[in-house]
Amino acid sequence: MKRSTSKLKYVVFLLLIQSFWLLMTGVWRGLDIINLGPKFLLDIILFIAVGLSVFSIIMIKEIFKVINKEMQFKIQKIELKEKEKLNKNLRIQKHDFANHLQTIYGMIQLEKEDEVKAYIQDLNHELANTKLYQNELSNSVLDSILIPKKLKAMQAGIQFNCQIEDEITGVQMSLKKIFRIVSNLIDNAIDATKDFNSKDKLIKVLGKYKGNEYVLSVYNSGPIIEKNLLTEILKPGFSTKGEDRGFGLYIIKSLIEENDGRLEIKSEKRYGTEFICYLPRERKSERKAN
Amino acid sequence: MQISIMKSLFFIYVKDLLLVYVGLGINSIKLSKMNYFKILLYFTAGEIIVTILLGKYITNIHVLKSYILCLLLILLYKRFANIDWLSAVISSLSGYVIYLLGGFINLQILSYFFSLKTDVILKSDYIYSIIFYLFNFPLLISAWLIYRFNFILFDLDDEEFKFGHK
Repeated sequence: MKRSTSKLKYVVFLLLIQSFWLLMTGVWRGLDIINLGPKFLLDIILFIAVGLSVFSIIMIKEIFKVINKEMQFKIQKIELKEKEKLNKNLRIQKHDFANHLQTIYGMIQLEKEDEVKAYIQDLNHELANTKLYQNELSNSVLDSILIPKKLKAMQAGIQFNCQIEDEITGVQMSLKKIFRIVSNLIDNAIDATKDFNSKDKLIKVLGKYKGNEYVLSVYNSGPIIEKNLLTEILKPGFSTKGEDRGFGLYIIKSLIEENDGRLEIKSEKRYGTEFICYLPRERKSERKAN
Repeated sequence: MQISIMKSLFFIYVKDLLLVYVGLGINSIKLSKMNYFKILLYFTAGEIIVTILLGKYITNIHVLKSYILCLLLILLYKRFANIDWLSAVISSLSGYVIYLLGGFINLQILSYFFSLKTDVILKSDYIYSIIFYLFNFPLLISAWLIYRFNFILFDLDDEEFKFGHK
């Protein structure tokens, strides 16, 4: 950081020296201190040179505004990485707590009351020392998969927007399967968009309830899929990326259909491609049974 | 060039005050009143000495004077503003560029529209004072912007060396 700062100072120094020299020459010329040839021509040249010099300083100022923005972007990327670490920690803690519960249950069965008390006291102490910042927690359960995907998209130069309006937990499908679907769809979208020659590379993930269905959509501004290929891409083994590939979309379709859902693909010119999953809401009787 | 007390008070001192305040202020460097006073005192004294000394030996002193004073200002910034050499050079040059910009624009206007010659300007105190304040007009505007809106061009005070408004 300090080295680049110093370089910036040298650029400004050089520009100021240039402006200083030109202005001095202009003032001396105006005061008839020096005579450098045809007055009119020299004045025009000096005027343009001084103008350019001043504008170059303004331009440099604008360029470095962009550099500052880039710096902010890098900071945000680091923040994302930190959130990813936090999510990992939360998952580890979840796993640990399941073990703790089992241990406590075992101790209670063996009627070891004092040991249980000591164990819970220990756990309580551990919890008190665990720093969990409210603003670092995710609002949706999907965030734990969307945050790393967002980082991946940003690294590929793709803008990534997510809009999860409703929590996905009430659908008739396990979270594990939902994560698999979302992960596959976003990975496909990143692969399709990153090499596509377009100014605005964009991936959008939307999630909300519409009646009795949860609509989960993954949109990308990458290349469109020809109409005759729309059914083909959902077949096992169909891929443009080579052998032993092309099972992602087939798995997604199977997982959705297994749970009474459906998958729609919308791919149009000047729009892009959108994969829309309709996942039915969990029936009340099933929820009660669970 | 003859230097009267009035000239040194109303012209040189005012110009130097603006030059120092704008040179440092536009680079986001603010000093205590005492340090501004010290810089001004040494700089004004230096300017008077340089003008008298150069006037004795060289017919046309304008060429050398600006360079010597610019160097003197760098030394004073380094000594009293406690900044690094490069920042001192940038501050000194920034002030001078704004000052010379006023000079350059005004001279072009005066020579084209009023056909004024240098000797005429220097002979008449009345014309000299008007032209003096016209020369310093960009410095005056910059000083007002810095004082009123905290306007900065380069943030030399910041480690990351940012540009723009603070």
